[in-house]
Amino acid sequence: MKNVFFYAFSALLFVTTSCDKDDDNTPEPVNEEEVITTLTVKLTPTTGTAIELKSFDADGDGPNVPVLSVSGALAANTSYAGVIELLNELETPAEDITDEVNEESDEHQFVFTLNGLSDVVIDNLNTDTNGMPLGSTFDLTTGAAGSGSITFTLRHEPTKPNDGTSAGVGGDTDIEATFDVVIQ
Amino acid sequence: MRFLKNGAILKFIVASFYFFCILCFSCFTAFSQEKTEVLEEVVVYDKFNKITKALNKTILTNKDLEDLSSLPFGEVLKHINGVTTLNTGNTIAKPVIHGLHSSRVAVINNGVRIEDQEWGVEHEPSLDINSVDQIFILTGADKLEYSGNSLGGVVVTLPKAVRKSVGFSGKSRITASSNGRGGSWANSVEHRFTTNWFANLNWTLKKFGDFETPDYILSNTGYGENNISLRAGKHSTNSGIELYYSYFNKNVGILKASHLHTGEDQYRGINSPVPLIISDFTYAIDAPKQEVQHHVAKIDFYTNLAKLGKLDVSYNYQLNRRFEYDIRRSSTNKKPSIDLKLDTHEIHLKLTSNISSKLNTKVGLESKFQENFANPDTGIRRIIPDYTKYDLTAYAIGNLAVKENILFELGFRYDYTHIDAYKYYRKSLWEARNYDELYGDIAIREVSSQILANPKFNFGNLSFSAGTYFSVGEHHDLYLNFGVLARNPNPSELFSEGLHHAAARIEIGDLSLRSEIGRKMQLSYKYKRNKFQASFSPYLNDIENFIYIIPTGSRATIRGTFPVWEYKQKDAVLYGFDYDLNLDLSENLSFNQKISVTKGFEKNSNKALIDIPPLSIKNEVTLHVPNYKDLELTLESEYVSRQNQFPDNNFDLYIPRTDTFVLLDLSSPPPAFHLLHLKSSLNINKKTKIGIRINNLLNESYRNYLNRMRYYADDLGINFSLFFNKRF
Repeated sequence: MKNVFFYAFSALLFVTTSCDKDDDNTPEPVNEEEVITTLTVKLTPTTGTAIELKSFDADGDGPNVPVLSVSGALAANTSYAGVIELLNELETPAEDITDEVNEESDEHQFVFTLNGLSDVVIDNLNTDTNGMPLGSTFDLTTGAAGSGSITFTLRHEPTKPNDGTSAGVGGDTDIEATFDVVIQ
Repeated sequence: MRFLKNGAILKFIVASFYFFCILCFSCFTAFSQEKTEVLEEVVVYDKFNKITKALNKTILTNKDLEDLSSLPFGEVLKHINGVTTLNTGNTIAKPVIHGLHSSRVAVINNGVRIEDQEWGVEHEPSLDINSVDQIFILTGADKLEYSGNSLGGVVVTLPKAVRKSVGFSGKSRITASSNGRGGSWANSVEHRFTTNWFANLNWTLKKFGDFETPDYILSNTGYGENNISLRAGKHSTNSGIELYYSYFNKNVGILKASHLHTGEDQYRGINSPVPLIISDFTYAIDAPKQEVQHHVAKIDFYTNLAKLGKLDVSYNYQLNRRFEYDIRRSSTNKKPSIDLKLDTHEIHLKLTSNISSKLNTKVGLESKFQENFANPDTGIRRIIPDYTKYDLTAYAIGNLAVKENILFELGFRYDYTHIDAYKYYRKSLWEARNYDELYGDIAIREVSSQILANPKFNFGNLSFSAGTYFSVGEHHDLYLNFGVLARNPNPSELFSEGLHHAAARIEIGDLSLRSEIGRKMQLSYKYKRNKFQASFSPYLNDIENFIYIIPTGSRATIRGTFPVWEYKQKDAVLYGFDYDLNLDLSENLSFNQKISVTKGFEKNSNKALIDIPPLSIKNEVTLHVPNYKDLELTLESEYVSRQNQFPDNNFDLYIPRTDTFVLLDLSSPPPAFHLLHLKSSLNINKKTKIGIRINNLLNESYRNYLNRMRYYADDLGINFSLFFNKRF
């Protein structure tokens, strides 16, 4: 009896001690997949200067705030063709997230919110596989001079069809950027 | 906190401990071999049995559990006075004892402390209720055998004692419920091969679809469990061996409408009168969901040593896998967001001695090794880092009967813990928190704007508990206990540093947190006379460096604006009482009342602590007719008041889109509610029992302060459950 106990116990000790981890075996970093670092909106008029709105956040939900930039003022009474591009610039080369959104277009929708820019009209949104609005490309037409903000929000699993408003589209927010713009 | 340069000292300590254990064990066994006389089985002295009954608050027995077989383990514990649950929906329930939960409550199953990432408030104890025969809550010195850090208490579950006579028997419990449109099938078979040899097998299957409130379906709240446990061994008077294996597997959906990506989405969710997503009933479970697999393997020997007592030597291995699935940006991405693997090995030596008819003691040594692996393939930053942890523990507990009616208990426990973690910090956070200056020496390297750090911690904690029990005459029993326990910060409190999707908030831990120390005083008075029994148990728990999470601001990210919550330490105090009354109104009619009051405050600011259970009052009238098929009929009233003492963690959230602020109301508790439940059972014959249980008889709409889903949805509506128990 004594021996049975002794050997069984020793064997178990061996099991526990042999699980000790090698100190040099450090874990590998996580290759983050869900990250969008950059949202760029290119507004190209038929004639005149193209405008770029850009939000860049290198540390995701880390403490650094997104860096917003607007290349210039929009011209009054002008029609712009808008294209939204989403990137993960932590990857080299940068990963184009727009492709992913376009591929699963029926599960996404961009919401446009104007604040203080009552003359601006955003329409002609591109559509998803079911013919519902997607909004990764759109037309933006300015009216009289003024200033305010435009917010671009990408919603995941929106309610479709909808009225295009933030509440109506519903779903979860994947990315959101608000730009102060001047129309002159 | 002190950082060790390398693990050499520690390995030496572990090795010497093992050597010491082997030495002691071989001496003990050699010693016992020399003695030839047959020892009496260690029988706990009657008085100590009595004391145990006084200390252990309430016991749920097999009979109490028989109509609860389809519930999650945590929900069952609610039936003990003084225990509530912190819920994530109705299918994930954490026990809350005297206002404390998670890392502050240990769950012991068949002698094994369950290691299942219990720090997480949405991580339920990985345990099948149907493998359990009895449940105790230990609050006295006895708990030091299992835990030195459970400031709330220790939940101990015991498996069924296998039949005494040679032969085969078993039982089957089938429960079908209307709410969730599912049920459970639990089975237990046991066989005694010879006087000494036995085996016992349990298995449970549970399957539920979406649950329902009175007004709508709670989409994606179904769950399923597949559990099995096997126990076999040989128990003789002088020695014994037992093997145990259990597997717990749970797949549980999380209310879809609670998965909100940003502060603004959360605002929409909280302010919507009905959940944002309500779909048709389904059994399918989609993201967000959790899957947990928990394995326990245990081998246990005991031998009775002449003059020394009963020596138990056990080894157990636990493997916990936890997968949490969030709604991903790409629906083709089926990978979990959290993928954790926790391995735990434990060796436990215990010597239980009846030194005299007046004194019994228990001394033990424990060694534990734990390794956490967070799989990087998730593509999402690890919620807790990879770490290894060593624990060395020694404890001694004694019970002394001074007189027939006065008993003392005293226990000590020392825990030494070493943690060695590897954690990637975002460089921006590392610098923002000044860790580069404070902990520069633990940074190993920088990889793509992340700092790999190697924090190491050593903690040494001494716990003790002293109590006395005395009875005055036949009717009065009094129990008094004072204990000091210490708990080290858990991985989440130390290392969190990012977005917690389930809560739509950014959570930030702190490397400089110290152990919290709880000093708890409790008193229990019991009065018993013929048809009348009452108990009143007040307590006071003074906690130094209480660790908790509070909102500290907001953070703008490219995904939107989030509230930021940080772990802090403050001195806190919790107090309250449990009261229980039993009255036999007539031969067949009895009345039971349970009241539980808990208060918790920060000491300096007098600010209320979060998630403290509100006042609850339960009244029960039971009709029991033993002559007519053992018929039982119980009407239960459950009243839970509004929690009026809560911290104001409301939050003015800036919405850039509209250039406005909105009030994110995370604090306001829901109103009080009153529910009626009805249950009835009868024995069709000696071996067959049927019953019905109707929960929320009046189909009330209500929300529970301690349910994290209360922001988004009501609690469950009426539920008819039928159960059928068959012994064979």
